[in-house]
Amino acid sequence: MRHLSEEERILACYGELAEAETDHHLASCGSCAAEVTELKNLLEMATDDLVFEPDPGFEERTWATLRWRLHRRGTLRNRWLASAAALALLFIGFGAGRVLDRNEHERRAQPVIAPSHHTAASEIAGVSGQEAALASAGREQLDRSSRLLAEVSNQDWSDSGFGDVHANAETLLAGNRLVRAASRGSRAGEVGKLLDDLEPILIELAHSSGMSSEELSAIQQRIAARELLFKIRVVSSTLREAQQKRSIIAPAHAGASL
Amino acid sequence: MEPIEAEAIERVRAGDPDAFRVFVDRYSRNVFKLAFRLTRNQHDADDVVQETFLRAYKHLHSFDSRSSFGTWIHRIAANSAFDLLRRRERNSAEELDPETAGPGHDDVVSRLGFRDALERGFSLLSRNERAAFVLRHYEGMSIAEIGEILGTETSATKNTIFRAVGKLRQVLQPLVSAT
Repeated sequence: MRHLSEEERILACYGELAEAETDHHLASCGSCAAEVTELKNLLEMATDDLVFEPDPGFEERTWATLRWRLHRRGTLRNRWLASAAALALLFIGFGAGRVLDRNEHERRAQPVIAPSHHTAASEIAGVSGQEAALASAGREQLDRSSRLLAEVSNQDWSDSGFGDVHANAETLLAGNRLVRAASRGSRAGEVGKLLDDLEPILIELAHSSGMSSEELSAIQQRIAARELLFKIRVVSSTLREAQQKRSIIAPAHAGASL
Repeated sequence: MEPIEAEAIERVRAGDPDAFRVFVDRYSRNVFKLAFRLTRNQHDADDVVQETFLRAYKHLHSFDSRSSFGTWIHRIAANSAFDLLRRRERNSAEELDPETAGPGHDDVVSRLGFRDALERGFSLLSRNERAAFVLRHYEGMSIAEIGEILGTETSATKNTIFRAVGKLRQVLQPLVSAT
């Protein structure tokens, strides 16, 4: 008669062996029956386990946190939709810019009879339609980043941490990455470079929930040490001036064509 | 499924997140216990509870209302806890293997209460061993279900449970013999 192996005894305890076969053997083998009983007793002792019993307010607390996250999830989804809409506009602008650029290129290839006012406007403004759209999107991202960094820099982390900053940082990260990718090789490269510098800080902020006060303080110091707020404001201001010049020049030429 | 749960699911699916509270009130305590058994840490267990209910909320559209919500959420909890353990790579078995624990091990155990011994026994288990044992022993999951969560074949899952029981037995046996 073959006795049950240690493994089979464990499986028998958990009812994972074919019952008829096991019962038959255990009924006729005192040694195996004793072993299985001993093991069962041992495992039953482990049922008196080490679980930490939550206090009576556990469900209330769990729901309070979860409810906030569920509602924030909805808000975040709306934010993502807003970002997606903004990015869609960016790409529409891009597409329009490319068409304008192509048209300009074709016009330039043709014999010049009279100057094209649109071409002149673009040349005077110094940017193509594509780059103007990119610069506009880049400025929007920089302005939003600036507001976030200002909020973080001025916040007292000892009270409540960075609050909802991580959610805003997540949204900004996605938008910045697209603008950076689009700005490579264009005249808006300076914006892309600045967004590159911003990325590590935004990643840290996106993961800031649950950080210790020392970690939060270190982020504030890094923002100050890299002079990020100052750089953003300078670049954003330059972009704003360029946009204003374009908006003045373009209508003037549009009027001249009438 | 009880009518109150079926109704809550319909309300959540219709866009009312507050209706989800029914499930938190009913299951969060047991989900916490499962998470605590797997993580052995109160803060990690709290995180697992949140992660579990967020996942359940997110995938509620795929839940078959004819099934048991309790069974479903416990499976999600086990997966969430196991994912956390996998991320943390808390494999203390190498550090505390009973074979390398040195002489006097049994003497130490005999001086500890059963609760301490069980705690020590759990600390000897690897991540997979602990998960397999908890899911089999406390949750009553089948070997096939456990294998699905651990990502292991049936034979490997069985071996994991054998090793877990073996290690716990090594620690607990002296106490049983002494009583």
